[in-house]
Amino acid sequence: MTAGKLLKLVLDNARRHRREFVLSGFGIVFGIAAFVFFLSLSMGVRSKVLEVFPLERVEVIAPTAGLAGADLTKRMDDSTVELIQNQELVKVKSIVPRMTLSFPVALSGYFEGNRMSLEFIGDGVDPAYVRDADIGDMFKDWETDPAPLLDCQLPKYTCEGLYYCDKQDMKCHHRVPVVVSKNLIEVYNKSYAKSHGLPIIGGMEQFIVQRGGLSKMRLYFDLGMSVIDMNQKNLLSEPRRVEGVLLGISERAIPLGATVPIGYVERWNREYVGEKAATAYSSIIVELQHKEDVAPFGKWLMDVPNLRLEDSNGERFASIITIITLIFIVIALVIVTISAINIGHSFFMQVSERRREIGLLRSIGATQGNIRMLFVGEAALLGFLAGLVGVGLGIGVALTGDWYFVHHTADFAFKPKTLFDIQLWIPISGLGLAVLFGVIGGALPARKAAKMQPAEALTQ
Amino acid sequence: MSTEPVISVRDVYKSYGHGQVKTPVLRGVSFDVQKGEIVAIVGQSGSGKSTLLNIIGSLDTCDKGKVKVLGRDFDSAREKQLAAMRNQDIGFVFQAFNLLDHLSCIENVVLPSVFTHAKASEAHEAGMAALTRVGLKDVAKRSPTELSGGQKQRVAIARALYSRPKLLLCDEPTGNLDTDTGREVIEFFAELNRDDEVTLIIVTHEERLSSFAKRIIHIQDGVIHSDESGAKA
Ligand SMILES: Nc1ncnc2c1ncn2[C@@H]1O[C@H](COP(=O)(O)OP(=O)(O)OP(=O)(O)O)[C@@H](O)[C@H]1O
Ligand SMILES: [Mg+2]
Repeated sequence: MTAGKLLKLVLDNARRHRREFVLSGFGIVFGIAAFVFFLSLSMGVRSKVLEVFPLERVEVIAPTAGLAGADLTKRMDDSTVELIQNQELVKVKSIVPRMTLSFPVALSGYFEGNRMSLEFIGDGVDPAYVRDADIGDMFKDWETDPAPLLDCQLPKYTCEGLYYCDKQDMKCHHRVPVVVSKNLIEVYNKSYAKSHGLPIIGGMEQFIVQRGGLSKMRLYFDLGMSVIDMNQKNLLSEPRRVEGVLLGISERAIPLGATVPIGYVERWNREYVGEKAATAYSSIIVELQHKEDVAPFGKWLMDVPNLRLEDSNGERFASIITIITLIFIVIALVIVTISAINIGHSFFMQVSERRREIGLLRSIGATQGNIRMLFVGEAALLGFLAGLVGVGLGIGVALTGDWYFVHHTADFAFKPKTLFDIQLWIPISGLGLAVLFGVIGGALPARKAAKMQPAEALTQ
Repeated sequence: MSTEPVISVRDVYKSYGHGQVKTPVLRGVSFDVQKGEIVAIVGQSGSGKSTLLNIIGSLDTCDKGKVKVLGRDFDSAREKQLAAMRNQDIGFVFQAFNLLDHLSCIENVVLPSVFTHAKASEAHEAGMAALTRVGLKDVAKRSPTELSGGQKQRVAIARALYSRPKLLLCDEPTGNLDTDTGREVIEFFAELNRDDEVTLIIVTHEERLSSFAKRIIHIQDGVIHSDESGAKA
């Protein structure tokens, strides 16, 4: 029997038994729809989460420890960076130490005509780490620029362009370049702007153009001042003001704050707290070549320099999503399994009802194998058709849900444009599963049909 | 006769059921059938006629004994070879016609081609030839459900003839037909035997049928009670 002839026979029978087909295919339809829906959902959510928290980028921190009030926390400095650089266990793409300010700084500025003042949360990194096509080469430590400083222009102590007049030496210093993370913009847009009636920041370019260029976005750092605690003690220097300029958005900026070139933070820490604060890093961002290396790298950190990895949000979310996905896949598989049993049941009845037909086919030359293939083929076709409908239903519900989610749920920070990621392998494996479980359901009845004694099948 | 018999049955035993409730049906049946013979198998209801015919047609197996049909020894033949033999060399005609109602008449007739490599066009041609032969060319596209009993049986015969078999096994072929249509079928069998040298085994109750046969095997109590050849004119 050729495949084409088998197919024709199977199709004829399927048309003849449409009702039984539809009834016993329902379970597969819903099981596969659930399978496609939940897998696409979890793939979508997963990729959104990993976009915000890439798995292969980890943060090395020193474990906090204290004894009788003394801070015994291990210091991380350039030797730590070197140690990580020279280890041969895992391949490292980049190592970027970050240094936070060890003393309070108040940040103020004018935004849309409002004066805003807040506690500066920020850190410094190697400028090369942040610099990219958008930020340009303005993000650097201008204080180490060899060009001689100009005097401030009298009578109002002004400077040209992006320079400001520093009252300490009455010279024109370049404004401190600042970048913020897009997370900050997200939070600003979705929470702060809304509650304060401020405009939403769309694309950064548009934002910059609308406000007449970069130099318009001026920021003021009041070193040694705090908007929270007005009486700062134990600082080595008197409060003073430096000016900054917002350059743009970088995903490498500290998530909910602003980032400046590390040189500024080092100098300011030295000036206000001391040498120790100017050489200790708060964390070291390590980008690994492979995300599989995260675990061995974490273990090495613990064993050798006695450091550890900051809990990775990406990993935490990813494993939660994986578990939830697995639960839903198990549910989908249970549904499909039950429907395979249902198909088996229905096919056993079919086999009894079609005894005569089976006997006749045997009498005109069908082998046992032919009969088995006939029923397995019908079960596979049933699985395939139900799978198609199930995949369609799953995708349909996903798209509908997505549309509803995008258009009818409240906006929130990091709200993705789409929740679902219907990767090609999902509908394909859904179809495969449907056919597989159809065949599993039909296998025993097909065997029974094949083993039937033709003479006996022809009686009654 | 020097040529090998078409059918050779030797000491065949068959019983149904197990252990205590085991009922013997055939208890040592032996006979040969030569090419071109018309053999009627008669006997009381339940005497094992159908069982014997099914064993000859390899639709059933015997418990003991030797069966050889068209040169093939059933003991050593594999399932596939027997299926091929039923497909190519043996035609079955049943009392209940056994047509598939969801297929048209011509589709029923060419059904054996499903298990061959024949092209659809070739199969259709051969099927139409078989339908023409039984005089039902015009109903080819119609459903068997629209036909009379006699027409149905002729479609079933056309299906049995589709592969131009050497042996036709008929189990009460006229059992569901009225006298006239029954006679037509019988006459058709006679013509077939005469023109194509098809060997015919016909299980029957009917006097008419057995009288047209040249040889009558009478089964009683699981054994051959009588085997009369050419006794009647
Ligand atoms: N599959 C079976 N299982 C059990 N018993 C069977 C089976 N097939 C036939 N028999 C029994 O075997 C005996 C012979 O049956 P068979 O059908 O061969 O008789 P028959 O001579 O063809 O009768 P009829 O003239 O009524 O068709 C009967 O008693 C029947 O009940
Ligand atoms: Mg019978």
